[in-house]
Amino acid sequence: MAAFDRIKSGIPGLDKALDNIRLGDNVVWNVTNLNEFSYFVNPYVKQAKEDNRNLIYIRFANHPPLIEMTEEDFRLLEMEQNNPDTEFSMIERDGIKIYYVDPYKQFETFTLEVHRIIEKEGFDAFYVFDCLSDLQAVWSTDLMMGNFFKVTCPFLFQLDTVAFFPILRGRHSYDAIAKIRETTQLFLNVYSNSPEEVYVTPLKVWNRYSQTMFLGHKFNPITGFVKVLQDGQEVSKYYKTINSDKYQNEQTLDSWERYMLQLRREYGEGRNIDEECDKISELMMTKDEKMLSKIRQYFTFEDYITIYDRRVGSGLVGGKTCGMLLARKIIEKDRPDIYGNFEPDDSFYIGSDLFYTYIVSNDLWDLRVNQRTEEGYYKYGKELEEALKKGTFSDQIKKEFIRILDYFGQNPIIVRSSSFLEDGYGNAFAGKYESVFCVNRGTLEERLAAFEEAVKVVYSSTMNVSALEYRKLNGLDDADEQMALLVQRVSGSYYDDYFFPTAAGVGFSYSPYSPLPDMDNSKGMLRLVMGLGTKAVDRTKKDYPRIINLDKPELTMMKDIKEKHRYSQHYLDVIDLKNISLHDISIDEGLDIIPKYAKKVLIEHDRDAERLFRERGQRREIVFVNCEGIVKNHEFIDEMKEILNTLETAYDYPVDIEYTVNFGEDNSFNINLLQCRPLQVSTNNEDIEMPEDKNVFFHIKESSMGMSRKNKIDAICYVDPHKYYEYPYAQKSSLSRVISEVNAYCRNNDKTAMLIVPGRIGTSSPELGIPVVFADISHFSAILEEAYSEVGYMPELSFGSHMFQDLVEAEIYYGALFENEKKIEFNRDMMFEYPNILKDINPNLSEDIYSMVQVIDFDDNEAEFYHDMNKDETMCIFK
Amino acid sequence: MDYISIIFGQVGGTYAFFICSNSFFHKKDFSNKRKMYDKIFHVINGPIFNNRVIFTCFFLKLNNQLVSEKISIFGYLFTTVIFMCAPHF
Repeated sequence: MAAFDRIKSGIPGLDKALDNIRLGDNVVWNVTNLNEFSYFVNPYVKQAKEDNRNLIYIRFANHPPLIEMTEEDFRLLEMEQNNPDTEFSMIERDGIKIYYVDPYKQFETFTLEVHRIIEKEGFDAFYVFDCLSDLQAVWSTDLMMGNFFKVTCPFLFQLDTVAFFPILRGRHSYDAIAKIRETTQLFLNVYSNSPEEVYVTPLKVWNRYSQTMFLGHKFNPITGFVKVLQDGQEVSKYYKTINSDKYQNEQTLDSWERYMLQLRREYGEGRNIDEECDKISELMMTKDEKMLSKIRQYFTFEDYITIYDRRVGSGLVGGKTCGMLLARKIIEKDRPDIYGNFEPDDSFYIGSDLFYTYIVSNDLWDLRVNQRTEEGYYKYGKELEEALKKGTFSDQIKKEFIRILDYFGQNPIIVRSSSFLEDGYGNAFAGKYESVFCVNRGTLEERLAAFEEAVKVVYSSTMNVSALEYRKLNGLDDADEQMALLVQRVSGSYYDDYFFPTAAGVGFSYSPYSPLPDMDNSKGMLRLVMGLGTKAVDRTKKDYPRIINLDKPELTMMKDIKEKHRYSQHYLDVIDLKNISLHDISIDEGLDIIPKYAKKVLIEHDRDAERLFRERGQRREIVFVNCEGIVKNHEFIDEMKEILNTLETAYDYPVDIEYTVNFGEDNSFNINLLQCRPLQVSTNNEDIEMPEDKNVFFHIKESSMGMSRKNKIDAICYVDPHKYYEYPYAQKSSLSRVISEVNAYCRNNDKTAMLIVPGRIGTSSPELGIPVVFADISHFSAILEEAYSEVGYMPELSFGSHMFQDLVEAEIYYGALFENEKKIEFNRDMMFEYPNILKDINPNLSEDIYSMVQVIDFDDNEAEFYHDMNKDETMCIFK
Repeated sequence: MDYISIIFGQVGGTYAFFICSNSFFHKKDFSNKRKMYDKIFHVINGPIFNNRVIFTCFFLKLNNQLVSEKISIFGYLFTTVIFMCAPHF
């Protein structure tokens, strides 16, 4: 059979009326109920069997089967579903293949499975699909049902198949029906008065035309007789039928909109809708069970309505939005006193369905399918990333975007990623997806163009290499990752041509680093900067945010004013309203334009320098930005402590937050909570389990700092404590140079390295430890101090004060090999089984140094390093 | 990587093409050559060729009906051998 060949539908009159259904046709039956569909599908199935067609029934819905199925069929199909040896859940009987596809696997997985079936069945197959309206019920949106049809229909067409799809009238928005009508080859409206009196009106018959084709047709399923309605009396009866009450409930609203409308009504009438709220949370908020239980605990119907009203498009609002909304709600309910100081949230949420709609409407679906394969994962990922940046939005979506822009006026906004998987328990995706600032200046057209660009950049970031790698690493490469968006007003004030908040930063309810041994890490930690929080989130070389350990907030590890200057902020990030950009400006420029009261809380005076100038007769203000005034504002610090503590208790897990704070003239302040998520305690987000029965190099407990991690170690540098002790005092300092050279070797050869040194690293007194500076050890991923009581070397978990900030910023692990019960095992001699490569690094050192400093490079036989922050346990094994 | 093979030709009075991958094997007949070429072009540009390497593409002209019935088997065996060797190319 060739494409476009005529086939028999089983109803000869209908074949005549439509000039036959052809190979390649998708036939959509718009029916009142599935009984009406049976009048057409039964003859079609019968005829297909007679003609020995490859007949396939795609079952996915909960309604009764559209072709006859016995209990035995259902049982066998269910068995097939659980059969791991078969690719599809399929049974075959009486010449019909019945496939079951699970729509609860969500859009992408479901659609791909249907496509694989179509591909397997090949040319000239005859299909019956379950009711499309059921997909809408499962996916809760017309949009995705339309997307499924839009990508499946061309696939069927290409293989010259014939497919029957029923859809229920009055259940879908006009937009959804229009999308289906536009894609399909045949679209037929069916009405019925009785089993003998059924009306068919073709609304679309592609590539065929006759004088009477688009008139109403009367069909008698019992006799099989089809008649064109041309007689005046019959025509009036037909119109009476289609205008009867039962056909008057057609609406323009999406099913989801109707559902919410109905719930609002029921809620207004005082009915209990708790169960419905659970359903809404699942359909609108997240699929993460743990998050869902928290959301259900804190959210009321009114909260859902508020979110619903600010959502654009359908689908979930995504992980980041959920985290932010939940955190605000927790504070509102559990600490209303603190919530009073919060800036209200007026964000918009762009639903995750819009992401797939964007892919489908820009013809990128095939590329997306290719990207899901193992070979195409990176290759097509790159291509898709580029293509996502170049797509266009439909007029309908643009109108919604304009609604958002109209609301925000010319205030700067930020478009943030809020994907399905983001910010859930265990999957933070920190920094993997983009967030884009929109300065939001210019004409509406310009602002809309910039906003669309921002949305495209965030969408395309789902395909950037680091996000793809992260997903693969966490076994999420096969998971549906739909991108929702969070559109937030940037919190801040206008200062001349710039816009920024007084201060912003991130907070952790548990601090992975503590500068002093007796500090309580569970009180948490804040990182705080002047201006936009990007400076606190991203690590920059030139700026240091203020680190506040909430147990002792005012404690600083800077021992003198010189260090305070050095480890302060030198630039701040701002939104430039004039040049429509985001960039940094110098602190001096920033301090010049902010009011005195804001300046007061951000700066600290260098009184010594000012005094010196005064003595010379000059009145000069010498300041640096370290947010000292904010740290000394007890009310603020206490509130932050309480916020972190309340959130951690509610989450049952440590959390990290992003926030801004704006100060007023009377020292009053407003906090804006921008984000909250379960704390990512590990650098690579894996569960850390200590290996057993391995070649243990060392194993220590309760004597380390840093995020959890599991990584390989390529090189180790070890300084023998006894030999260091015996080394002449005057030459001890030269060891820092040796370590610096090893550090450079590791950096240049991209080696992950570990350093083990006696006593206190970074001390200024060589008799206590090696007096290195941060630059000498910057490339080591782990640093351990070894105790050697015989000569008095004792580690002190303090990093050496001035290095604390650098080490925290570089996320370097820090531990101590004590000589007590905390050291479970340390097999020093294992290192000496490897050749010392220090001579290769620097052949001009003395023999004393070569015998004191052992540097090993594992080449292929690397070591593995495990650290679990929660249990405070560390282990290193040699392979 | 998936491979896909196309064999097309004249089989008695019918034109036909076969496409074969490591997961399916399909055959389609046509009443004239033009229609067949159109369809091949259509299919090659379509979704089932996504991310697959096309391996063979040649024209067979078989007048003997007996042989034509075997063409499916020939095509299948041929492409199976090709796929087995494919990773080594």
